Amino acid sequence: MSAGRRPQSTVLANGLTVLDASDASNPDVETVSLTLTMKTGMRHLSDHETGLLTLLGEYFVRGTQLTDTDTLLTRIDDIGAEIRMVPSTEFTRVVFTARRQHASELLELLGELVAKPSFDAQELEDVKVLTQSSIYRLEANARAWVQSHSDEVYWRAGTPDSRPSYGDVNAISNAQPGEMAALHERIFNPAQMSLTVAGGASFSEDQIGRALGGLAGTPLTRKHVDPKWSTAKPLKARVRPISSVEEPMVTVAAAIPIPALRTEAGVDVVRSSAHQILQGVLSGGMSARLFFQVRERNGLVYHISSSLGGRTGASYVQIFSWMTPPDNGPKALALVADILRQVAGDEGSPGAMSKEELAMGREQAKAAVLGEDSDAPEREGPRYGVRWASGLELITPQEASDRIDLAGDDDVRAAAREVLAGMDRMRMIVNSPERAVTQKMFDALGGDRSRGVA
Amino acid sequence: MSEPAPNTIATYTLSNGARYVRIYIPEMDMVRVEVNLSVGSRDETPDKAGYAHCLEHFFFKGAEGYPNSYAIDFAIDRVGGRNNAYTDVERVAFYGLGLKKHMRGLLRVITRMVTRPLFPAHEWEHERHTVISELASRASDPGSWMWDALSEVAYGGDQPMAWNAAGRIAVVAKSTAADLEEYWRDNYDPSKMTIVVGGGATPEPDEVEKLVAAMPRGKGKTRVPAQWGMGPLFWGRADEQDPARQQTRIALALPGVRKGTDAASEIEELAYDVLAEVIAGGYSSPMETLVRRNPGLVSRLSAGHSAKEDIGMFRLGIYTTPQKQEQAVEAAIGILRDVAARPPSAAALGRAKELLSSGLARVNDKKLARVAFVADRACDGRDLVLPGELIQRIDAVDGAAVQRAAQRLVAQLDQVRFTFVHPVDPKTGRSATGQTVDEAGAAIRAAAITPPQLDRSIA
Repeated sequence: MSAGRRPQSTVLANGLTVLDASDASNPDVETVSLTLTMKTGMRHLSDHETGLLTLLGEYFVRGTQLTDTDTLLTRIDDIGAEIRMVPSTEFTRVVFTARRQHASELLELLGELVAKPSFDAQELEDVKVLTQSSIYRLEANARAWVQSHSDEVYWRAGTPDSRPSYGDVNAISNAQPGEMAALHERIFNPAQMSLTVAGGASFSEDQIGRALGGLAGTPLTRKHVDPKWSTAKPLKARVRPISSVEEPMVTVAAAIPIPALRTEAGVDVVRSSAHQILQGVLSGGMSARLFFQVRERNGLVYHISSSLGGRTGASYVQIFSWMTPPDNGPKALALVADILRQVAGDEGSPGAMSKEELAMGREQAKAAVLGEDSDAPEREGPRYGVRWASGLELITPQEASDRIDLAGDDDVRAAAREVLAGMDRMRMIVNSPERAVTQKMFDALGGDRSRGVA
Repeated sequence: MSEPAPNTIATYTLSNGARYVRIYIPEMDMVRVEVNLSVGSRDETPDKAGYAHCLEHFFFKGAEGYPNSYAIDFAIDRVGGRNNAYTDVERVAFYGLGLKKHMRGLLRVITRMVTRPLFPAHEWEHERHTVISELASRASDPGSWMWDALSEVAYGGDQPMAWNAAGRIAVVAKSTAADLEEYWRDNYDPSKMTIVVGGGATPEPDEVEKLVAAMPRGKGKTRVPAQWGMGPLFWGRADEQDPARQQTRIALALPGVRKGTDAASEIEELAYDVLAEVIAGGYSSPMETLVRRNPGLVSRLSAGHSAKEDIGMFRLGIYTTPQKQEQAVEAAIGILRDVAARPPSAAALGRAKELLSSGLARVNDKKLARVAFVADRACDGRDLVLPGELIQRIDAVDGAAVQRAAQRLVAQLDQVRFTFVHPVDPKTGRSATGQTVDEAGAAIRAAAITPPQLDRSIA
């Protein structure tokens, strides 16, 4: 779609919202992308259902009521389609992409997979084995382990936010076809779902209606639960034995809670923009505070970055890093703590953010919002789908980038003070070959030692 | 200022021998600026294994007009730009992305880094450690190690193709700023340099000429020709895993075909890419079907081909269990043998080509990726085409060419080399089947090179 135009929105009789971001008249666009965004994510499901949703990503393409699995998969490959199901905390997305000349077949496939699913028992058993193998591989990788388990440390135990990213492993082992069918109906509920059409093809309402108009779905009845930050032990560690040929690496993620940037009432645009600028100052490029001071000037880590995270009703700033040798961990995190204290300082105080640095952070925040491939069809669909599912205005990347300027420099300093104020509730997850270093790292970043290591 | 015709590739040879490529994409607000040097890890010697990668890092530490790393980084960051670099076997690439109004600023910084670096010795003390940390982080992950180490067995013999493009830790640990500066003077040369600018604005050739005029002339060293199979037959790594869920991962390599530099030779090379898709691409290929129907035998299979100046490598990735490793290897190689015995059906060939073409169409639609695609081709010494033209070359690959590629691979099975991750019980040092690393390696090799005796109905 032309970067300057917002998508057109219509609602089908069954409640499905269609966002038309297509650019069919542009011969330079070679692909078409169809994105289904469902307002159901991991946090809206029971523990058991989260495991089922992980399975659904692979199971989704294992045949339909109209087509056996082999024929279906061949049809997908005949048009070179890429199909990705991406469950996340608050949403589930399915993105279908193919060359534009296959647009009609792509829509037909999408409709059949979503509206006419089959739930074959043997296929489910095979999918279970493959999914378990994928999880074992993920668990063996330090960075993936840290990322998969961080929510268990950040959020209060027993709440829907405190789960591994792949959900309940027991559910994956014990799933039954009937449960998968019920979950499918709840996920693909048209009243809670949008279809974004992006790229070099467009469809009439009739065409989309034929593919998805018969979809009924069942609404989720689960009560909304506000996200709650963890009050338990603030540090989770895995000590992994290493072989003689390995260098001992430490991988760490730490999250500091800040007041929510987005609530049911909407986004706090000024604070949100201010925090995005702060992220530009901390982690926006190679001259940003964290990368430059921790890696470039002191050589303590290979990777360090920060980012904003959260869900509706809760936000945090996350620091992510990996390094060798382990002794560098406490030094690096002590430096991070200094940086966070300095940037929260008043204008003119030692180490406070300079005008130039704030301007750099602002430009980096704008560029991040704009994105380097923002008009590629496979990027447009997910972007507008998430904005729709979040109840946000369907603004273009340029409009979103321009909104960064709603925050002034004082707002950015206030954002930095919010981060500093959250330090005593910081949570950390560490993968390390040495247990001793994990507590030292936590202490170095300013954690409360009395709470100990989980 | 005049721009070339939209969405075409314009090339110029500058007076010092460097090449400039521009692609004007008028609807874009952004640009990608890339400076490539055809000097990679295979241009090193064993005592300098990693210098190309070290230089890639060191160039960020200061250049004329940018006295330190902060000056370089801030010049890009302050305008919302992003920059990075990478080192490969045959090249080092530096690139920057940003709004088109900042195109000249991006280009100035990146060309200065490469043509007028300062090599501040004190900075190297820290940066050397960062490079080691990068190498260590890859080595610490068994999955990354397996692929990184594959060239050590496939080529071996301490020839430059043997070591990973990122280098060897022991060499990097001893490197000094003076060593790296000397390496730069000896090996970098304008004739090995390609500047690519693409997006909403591109500079005139004379502007680029001025920016790279200071590039010194190197000594014009010639590359050591690559030789297959000078290393060990295999290289395994013991990985302590829970005995109840042990996984074996195997990266297997066969000699492929060299890089194609014109349409005809590239179509021969593309036959190997199409072959990889025929056997392992998409959802319905034989390898995907094998995984889907026999997840207890093999949980993941992959195939791919990469071509260098004078040699290529065809790779298979096999994820299985210690109990099933030989059977999984036999089954995967069996699928390759099938294509060698008879060409793929028209439908299977069409699907494989569509999968490759679809990937290229996605590159086309990410416009900065389209610029990177052209930059890669320029540095690889290939003719310069946009993704759409490569799709036409893929269309020209026929079933007979794919079968020939498979036949060549099968005929060279005795040249197979592989790395693997061998799961062991921490208490016994052996896998669930009781095998040591060496025993498992010998069994995997026998399974790969021995003609099939299995009941192939499992596929």
